[in-house]
Amino acid sequence: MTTAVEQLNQVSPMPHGKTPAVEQISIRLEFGSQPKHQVSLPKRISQDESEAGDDKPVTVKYLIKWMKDNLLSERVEMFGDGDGVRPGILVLINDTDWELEGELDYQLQENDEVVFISTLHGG
Amino acid sequence: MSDDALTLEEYKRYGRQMILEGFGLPGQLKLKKARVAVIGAGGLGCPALQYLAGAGVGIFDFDRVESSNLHRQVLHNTERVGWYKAESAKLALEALNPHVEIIAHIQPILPSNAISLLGSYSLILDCTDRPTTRYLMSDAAVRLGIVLVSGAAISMGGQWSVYGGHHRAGIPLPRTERTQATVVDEEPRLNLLSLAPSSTPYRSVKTRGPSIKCVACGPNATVTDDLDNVPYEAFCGLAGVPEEEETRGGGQVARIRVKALQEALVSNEGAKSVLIDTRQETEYGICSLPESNNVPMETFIKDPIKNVQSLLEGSEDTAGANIYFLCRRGNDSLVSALALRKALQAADPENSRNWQIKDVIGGVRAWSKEVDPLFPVY
Repeated sequence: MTTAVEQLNQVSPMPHGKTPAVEQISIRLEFGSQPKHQVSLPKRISQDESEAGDDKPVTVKYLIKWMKDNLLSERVEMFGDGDGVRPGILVLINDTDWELEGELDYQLQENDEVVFISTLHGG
Repeated sequence: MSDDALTLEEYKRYGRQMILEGFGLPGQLKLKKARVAVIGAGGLGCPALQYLAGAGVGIFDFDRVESSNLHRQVLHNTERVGWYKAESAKLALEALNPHVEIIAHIQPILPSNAISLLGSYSLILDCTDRPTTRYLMSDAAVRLGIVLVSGAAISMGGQWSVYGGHHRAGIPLPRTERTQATVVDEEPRLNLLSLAPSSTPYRSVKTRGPSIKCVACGPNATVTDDLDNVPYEAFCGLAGVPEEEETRGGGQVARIRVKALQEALVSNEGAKSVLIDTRQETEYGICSLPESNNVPMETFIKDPIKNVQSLLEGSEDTAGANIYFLCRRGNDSLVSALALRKALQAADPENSRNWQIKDVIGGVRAWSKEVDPLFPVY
């Protein structure tokens, strides 16, 4: 049985060939039953949160878009829903439900841990 | 014997737990008075029931015991295959502890009867496997002011939460207008267990408290005791899903019955054919059709055309080839067939390959039922 979150592919530890000029932060990602990954994101992003820029600190909204672009090669609909994630996927930021942390607007910090877990319904 | 005292035999039976600090005689008397409704006597309900048999337990389950249940649903046994699970569990629990009153409910728990059936219980354990019943239990618990313990498991993972007072179990299909909330005496938590080797074994995470948007417990709540008017099916995305699944796929790919697949395999005439079984390798290893090739769905959909092409290697002419898709029940195979169609539309708009994509309805289960009764059903 594959859960939605397990559709995510393995990530290589670091994106290669990115412009080194952009200042990066490093966060930990975990999904499904896969081992944790260290990934790097631009520290600051554009106003519309779609790319690196200098308007605001990097948010979870940017992270999710980045994951859709970089970690999901197919069946994006199993994971994403609009800017967010599909109902039934629980997002934890540093072991706390993201709803307590501002959801998409949460501003990621160096060494944050973001976990994606499929909620279960089997009995 | 009244609920306010223990018999000598009960002192002896429960002594090992009564000596625990914080438990004592008062704890045992509380258990004796408690009435717990366990909804579902399956994989979660069975172990819960075994340990709860010290209290008065009501078992709700309208399902019957099947042999595929027995490896994990440990209250049932081979002799009782075909029994109602609630009655099978009752028999096992009465053998374990004659001092408890066990009530077996074999009727389905529905919006129309949930309030009246659950009204006399002090705790509800949701051990069910369907989203609609999970939301029904949450709403019923809110209306009745009963604490709800919500458990779920699949594969190597498990999750549970305790909801008290006001709550709406947000699991497993939370949507914004439906919220999970708890105000007992501490912050709400969701507990997650996983036995999968590479994942975090246990987490206990803080979750959001009561929400003013909640339709069950918020200030503008619309859920009342009349649960019959709550659209559970629609809310869980189940309404309007046809019983017969033959029409799925939107006409993008042909869908055939197992009999037609059998005829095609036997006749072996005309264009080249390839049969792709999209189940996981482990499942394919349990049983498979000799003519089939195993390409698990996740692998297949990454590059559908290349996967088919490599299976057709050695054929002079692949134009017009028949590509059959098969899985366990006909879900993953359809996803794979549609992925191939989509990839072909993009890569080969002229349709020079002219591959005939055919998805097998009902998968190997249907094969066993309609073609070869000796083919294992697992």
